[in-house]
Amino acid sequence: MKNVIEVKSVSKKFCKNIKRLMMYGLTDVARGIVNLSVHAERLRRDEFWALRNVSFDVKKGEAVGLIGLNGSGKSSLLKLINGIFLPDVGEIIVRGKTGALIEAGVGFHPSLTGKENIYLNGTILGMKKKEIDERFSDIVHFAEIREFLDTPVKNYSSGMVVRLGFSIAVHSAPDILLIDEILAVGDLSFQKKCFEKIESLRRDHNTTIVFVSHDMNNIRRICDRCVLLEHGRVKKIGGTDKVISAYLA
Amino acid sequence: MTIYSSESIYRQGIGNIIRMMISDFSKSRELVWRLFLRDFTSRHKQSLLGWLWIVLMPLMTMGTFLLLNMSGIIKIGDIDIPYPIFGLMSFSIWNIFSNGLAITTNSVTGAGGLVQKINFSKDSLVFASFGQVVIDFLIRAALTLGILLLYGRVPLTSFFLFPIVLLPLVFLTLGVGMMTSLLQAISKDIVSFVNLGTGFLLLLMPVMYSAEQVGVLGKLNAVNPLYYLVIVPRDIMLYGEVHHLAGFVLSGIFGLIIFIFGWMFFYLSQTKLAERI
Repeated sequence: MKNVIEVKSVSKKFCKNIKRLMMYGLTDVARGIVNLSVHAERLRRDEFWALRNVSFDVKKGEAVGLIGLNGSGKSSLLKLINGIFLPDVGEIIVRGKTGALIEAGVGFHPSLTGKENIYLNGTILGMKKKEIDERFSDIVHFAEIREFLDTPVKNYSSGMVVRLGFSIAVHSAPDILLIDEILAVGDLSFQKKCFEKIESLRRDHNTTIVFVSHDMNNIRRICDRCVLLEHGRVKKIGGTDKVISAYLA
Repeated sequence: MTIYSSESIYRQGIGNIIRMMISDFSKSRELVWRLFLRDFTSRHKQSLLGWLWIVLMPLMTMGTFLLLNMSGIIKIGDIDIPYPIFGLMSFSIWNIFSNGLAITTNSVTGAGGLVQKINFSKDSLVFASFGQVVIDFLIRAALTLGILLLYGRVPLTSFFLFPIVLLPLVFLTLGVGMMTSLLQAISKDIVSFVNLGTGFLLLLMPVMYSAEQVGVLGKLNAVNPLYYLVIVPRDIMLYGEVHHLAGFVLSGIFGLIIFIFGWMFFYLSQTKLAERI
């Protein structure tokens, strides 16, 4: 089966000091523009490797879990796969349309109504107006917010925000869906509904899933394989049960 | 297929990068429109005076200059048309630059989580934010027309040339705005510099007054592209006269170059933004 995600020897560094972060930012941008090397392999003062030499592949239709302790680099890796951050070293190849659920409600404007935010968020996630028109009812039905469509999102409960965010993302018909822990916010019945939706996306559309979670039951439910990260490095890759055992050991 | 690597975009060459910029912009037209609607709808939702601010701002600036004129601090000079018409038109044009720069500078950092959590074309934020400046200008231009008619004056045909004669100023503002929005993501001081600088320039340039420019001020304005891009369109729209045509054309070319450079600077650096906000 074809690889839809290829992570090749990827490293990513961040800076702990805000003043240096600004200075490095300016110099990196300027050096990049005049095509000078930005010394990507070298750590400058107060910089640290958030990810170091990470490599793995994800095949079409596969569900891969990223697990590890807080600060192990899971969310940074998800952002790199989504193209929000660029690797400092190495490269990531992504084949297909990517949808990401990195934080519930991100992109929503609090003063706008649910309906207005569906159009706004859908467009941000790459949908055309016509596609949103066609899927509008499904989005509203799945999010269970029909009565609150004309209510500003700032008056929604956190659960409603997650439901709406998740619903828009899954209805944007991504080939690859990246999910970062956000389902923990919703109630149990909605979590169940989300997992069923993820399973149906895989079954019916062969959607590839990359899933970050601390809940090993959820990881077991969804993922075929897992990548265990420790201090930004890959500690183990393999079948879900094996990798979870290594993580919990 | 998309390849994310630290150097992939820089290897493309300038021609390809410009083609990619235009192609990405074309693909994100709907996003620009949707972000513009978001800003437009939410802009005055929690404001007591709401849209009145668009009219109040030029009135307050005009009042300040009239007061300074009466106190002898500033000479407004000889103006052939009533000051409310002159002042409102001048402020409206100046505001394209000053407010345009302030809004575009804040457009990326204002989006916060969106930039950090979703991969989308970030220049859409800058283009969409500029839409508010266009709306403000159109409202003020309509108001100027109303005042012209109130004074029993028929607007010149050249008044309606504003979409063409103001284009170079729009280019310059967007180009500088692209650069400052990026720098604002790195250092929060930038918007303060922008506000300080535009406030200072408003006093230095004969925007709200028409007194003859002599001495150091005259020499400075003679080499200031912004001077030509603000004053010449105003004179065309209000008087139907073109002074300093060569200065206007050269400044227009300068504005276009700044726009292309600023956009490219932004485009090449936008992936660094998410890490810095």
